[in-house]
Amino acid sequence: MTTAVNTGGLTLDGVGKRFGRGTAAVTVLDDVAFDVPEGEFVAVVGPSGSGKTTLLNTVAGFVDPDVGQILVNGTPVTGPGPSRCVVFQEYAIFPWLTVRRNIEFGMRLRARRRPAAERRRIADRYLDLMGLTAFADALPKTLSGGMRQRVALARAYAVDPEILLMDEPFAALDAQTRETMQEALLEINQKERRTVLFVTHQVEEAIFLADRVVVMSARPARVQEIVPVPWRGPRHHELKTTPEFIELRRRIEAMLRGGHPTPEGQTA
Amino acid sequence: MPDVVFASGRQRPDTGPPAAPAGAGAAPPPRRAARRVLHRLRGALLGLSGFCGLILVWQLTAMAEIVGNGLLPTPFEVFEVIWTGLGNGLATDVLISSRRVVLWVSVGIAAAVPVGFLLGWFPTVRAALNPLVNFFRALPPIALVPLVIVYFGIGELARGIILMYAAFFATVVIVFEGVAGIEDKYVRAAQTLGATRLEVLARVVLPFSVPHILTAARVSLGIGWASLVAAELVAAQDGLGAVIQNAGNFLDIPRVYAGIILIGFCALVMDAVLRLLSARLVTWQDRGNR
Repeated sequence: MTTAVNTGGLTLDGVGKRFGRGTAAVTVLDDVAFDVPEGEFVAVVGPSGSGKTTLLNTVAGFVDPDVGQILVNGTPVTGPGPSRCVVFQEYAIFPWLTVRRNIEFGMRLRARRRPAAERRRIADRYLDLMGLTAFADALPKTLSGGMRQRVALARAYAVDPEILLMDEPFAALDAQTRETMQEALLEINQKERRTVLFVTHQVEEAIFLADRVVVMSARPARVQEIVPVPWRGPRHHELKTTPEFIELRRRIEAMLRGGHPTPEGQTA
Repeated sequence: MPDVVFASGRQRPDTGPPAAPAGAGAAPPPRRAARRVLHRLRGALLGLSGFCGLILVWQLTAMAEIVGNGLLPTPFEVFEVIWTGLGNGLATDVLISSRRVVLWVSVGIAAAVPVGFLLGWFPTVRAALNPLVNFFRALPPIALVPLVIVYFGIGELARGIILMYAAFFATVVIVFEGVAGIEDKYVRAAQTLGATRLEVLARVVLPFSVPHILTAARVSLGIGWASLVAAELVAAQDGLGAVIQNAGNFLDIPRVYAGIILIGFCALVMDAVLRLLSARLVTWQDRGNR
């Protein structure tokens, strides 16, 4: 069953970003262009330090691109806001609030304020979907890393964003927790189809979660190729060991290696 | 859900009541509670042993007449002065000084918290005012006594201003360091959930700085007691600072010691109360195993 939720399309139109000035300037993003259609899950993979996080920060509105623009439902992005809610790699849930109050945080702000009863109902729903109901009144310091990221996911979903941005949200977790979290994310995404831009350096994670994988080159980051993922419907971890999956993974990993230009002086 | 576990060892046993998560059982198991009581008892005994050691050394030094040309009273003499004095007006001095410190240090903290916020939150304000704050912070309150008398007379206000001054600058520095030290990830998380600049300040920066404000209060109270004698140099007839000065004038050394000990004792009690209060108020902090 899918629930009606806020969704939107995302367009990156020739986005470029440099840091520094003059000869010391480093081009981090170079003419990055792709679409994330409404309701699609797109993963971005690239070598470490290739500017994936910068890319996500420009979409989030934390960083202004030098050239090009980012459009959400055709409207240019000018700063951070709840239409593009971010789930961060570091555990960024508020330590002074209980799990429930963390999830309700966005719904108490002016931008997405909701009446108390509705707030409670929505929080209950995401507590349930994320398996957090028993921990609703717990403080973050008592939770494990995986649980904290569940709270962060629930908090992001609860503001009903047009686009969900995820910046390597499971990178700090151990392998087993990471797999559990991937399944939890797929499960919630089955129930409510949202537009997701997911940044990771793990090719396996990208293929397993996404409908399409955007393969970036090393610095400056450009779009090398956009690879469609053939599987539809519910996925399980056994998928990762099928020959088709391994083949696709090898292909993308080869692109990432081959797409490594000379290590320095790539500012052109 | 294999990761549905509490991170073990994260809660220190003596950081106040642990947040009892719903469904996880409210009361801690009796053995853990017993261990916590033992742990506290041990801490209290260790704290007491320091005082006992000091009193012992003091007693021996006084008996052997090593220092002070016979003007070092024994602990017993001093405690006798305190004991009889408390029934004989000294208790009033304790009360008056306590009220003075609490009132004026509170005024100083109340004035300093918003200033600390401004300094912590706006880099321009910080750049402009930080050297100034550090300049005034370094001045000993006793050096201000002549000026305070000239400009504010010799009333209660003049004494209060000295205490307020001491508390104000200590609090400003601690609060602004706390606010400036807020991790960027919390600010960004709030922004991405839709918070405006004002909402970030009210819903992220303010709760984040509550523990810093409480620390500032503790430090300021300590500084307040430390500045009390200076404040009561301003023509005070009552209060522990006045007691010490009057006794000094008459070379009543046991009474000087009595005043000093009472100041230290009051400061100790107030600090303990504030520590307890802040453990109650700030249960969310993960203090680790510091």
